[in-house]
Amino acid sequence: MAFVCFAWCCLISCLYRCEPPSDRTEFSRMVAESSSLEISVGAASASASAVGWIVFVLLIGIAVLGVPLAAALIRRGLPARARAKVAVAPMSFGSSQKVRRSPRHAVLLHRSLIVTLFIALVVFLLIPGVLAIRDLGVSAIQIGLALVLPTLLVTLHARRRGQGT
Amino acid sequence: MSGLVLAFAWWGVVSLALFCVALAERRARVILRGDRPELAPPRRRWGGDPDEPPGAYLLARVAAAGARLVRVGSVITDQSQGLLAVTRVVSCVALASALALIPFANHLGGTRDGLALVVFDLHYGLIALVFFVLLAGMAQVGVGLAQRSIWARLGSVRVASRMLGGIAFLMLVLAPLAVESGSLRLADLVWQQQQSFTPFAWLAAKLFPGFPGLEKTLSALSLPSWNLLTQPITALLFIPAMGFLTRRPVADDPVAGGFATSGFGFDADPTELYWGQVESRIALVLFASLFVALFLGAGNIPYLDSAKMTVRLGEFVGVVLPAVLVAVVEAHVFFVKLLLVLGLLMRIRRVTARMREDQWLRAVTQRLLPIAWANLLLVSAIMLLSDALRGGGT
Repeated sequence: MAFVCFAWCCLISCLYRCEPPSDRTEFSRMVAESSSLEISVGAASASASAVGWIVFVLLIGIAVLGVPLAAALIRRGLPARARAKVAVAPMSFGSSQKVRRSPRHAVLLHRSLIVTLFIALVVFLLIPGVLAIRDLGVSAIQIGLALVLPTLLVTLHARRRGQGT
Repeated sequence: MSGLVLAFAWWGVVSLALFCVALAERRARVILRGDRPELAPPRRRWGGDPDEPPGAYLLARVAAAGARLVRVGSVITDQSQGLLAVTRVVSCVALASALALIPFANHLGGTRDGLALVVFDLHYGLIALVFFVLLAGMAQVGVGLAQRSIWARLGSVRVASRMLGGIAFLMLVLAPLAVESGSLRLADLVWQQQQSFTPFAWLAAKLFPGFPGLEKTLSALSLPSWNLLTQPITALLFIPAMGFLTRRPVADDPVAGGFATSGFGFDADPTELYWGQVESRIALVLFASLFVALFLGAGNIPYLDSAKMTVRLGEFVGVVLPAVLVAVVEAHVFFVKLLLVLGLLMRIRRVTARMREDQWLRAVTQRLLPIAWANLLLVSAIMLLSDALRGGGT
């Protein structure tokens, strides 16, 4: 029931929004006619200027590092005995059987890690798929099925053989 | 030159947002509930003692926080300090790099040919964004690996599972946006939201061609083409996706009388706590900025066409000045939207229960991931259908 409601919500939300793009070429025409243009409005392509990125990251770094650096500078003025760090034992929760929960706890954690790793790998393959569907349209689904179906067939066949042996 | 100006402008916006988050967090810690005075935090009652200055005096509070950082720190035995420092730096650099990818206003001049107002404009910005978020998440894993105890190692495995599941979920949530816009460039996603759309108008024209009144009525209902309105399911899914990746664990803080960010390596060390809080705040600002850029049209003002505004002003004062003025106005609008979203997110964090890691993971892998898949498939199918209905499909 919940899935049907969700599907209807998706359907309605997707259906009600299609609109041909409006024409916004007037400013482009003015720019083309203007001879005193000083701003860069040339290319529609992305400009991967690394300078801005480096400057921005440096600015954030300086802002973030400012407080601990100032604290470290002040700490240097303290006598050596006063600024010696205190050694702390790492946090531990004991070794009783109750705290350990289960000997399989670590195994289960690693199993969920492997599962999420495979999920992430599958989703990483999605990006070229999305681009292909966008560029090729419905024919991309046909090409995708032609690739996926034999793989699925071989996998299922191998699985049946594996169960039999 | 434009890159430097954009970097400084965006840094100003982000710094102000970080400051506002810090203020809001502090206010949340010392808030007094009239109906439950017994729950008032101890800090609320402070005053008179130099070690416990009154919460109302900002300068005294700043001095007390500075003193906590300056005074003797702690070092955990068997902890790799080098790995810890590297992971802190990597985390902050990755989050800052992800922030640099976010456009904070429409293209200069309101046209697609104009300069994109983003610090780091990439063709594959969405992929780079996912990569940077993944890098920040893996840095969290590295913080845990810096300790050699079995508990920290198991915690790292749990955080790694969370990050991988979260990244997969985030990619599935972002994919419908890429499908609709046909681009992985974030500036294109923002540009697409600058227009307006009329709900169901095209469908009414196809299904009921004999009723022009119906089409006109629907055409009168024009909405801004924000992804929040065009893809509400995607917007709803984006909130748990980014929350899953950017929400940091908290622990009861008896000194402050509230909850504070927790994590690996925070054992009684104020400097580590500072880094954890800074990282958590940058992650929150990244989350809110992404929501504004991807779903609220960045600096777009509804029903106000920036291109037309620029053209009309351009008749009097030339082309450049109006374009820059409009960009400045849109940057301010972006900041206002950012504050509203930050306030909303912080309110949601306060009123919702904090789920355990395994509960989060189960909810994502068993509930939210299938919903995100279904959303993606439906959006793709309906995009193909609408293209075919309009005669542009294959």
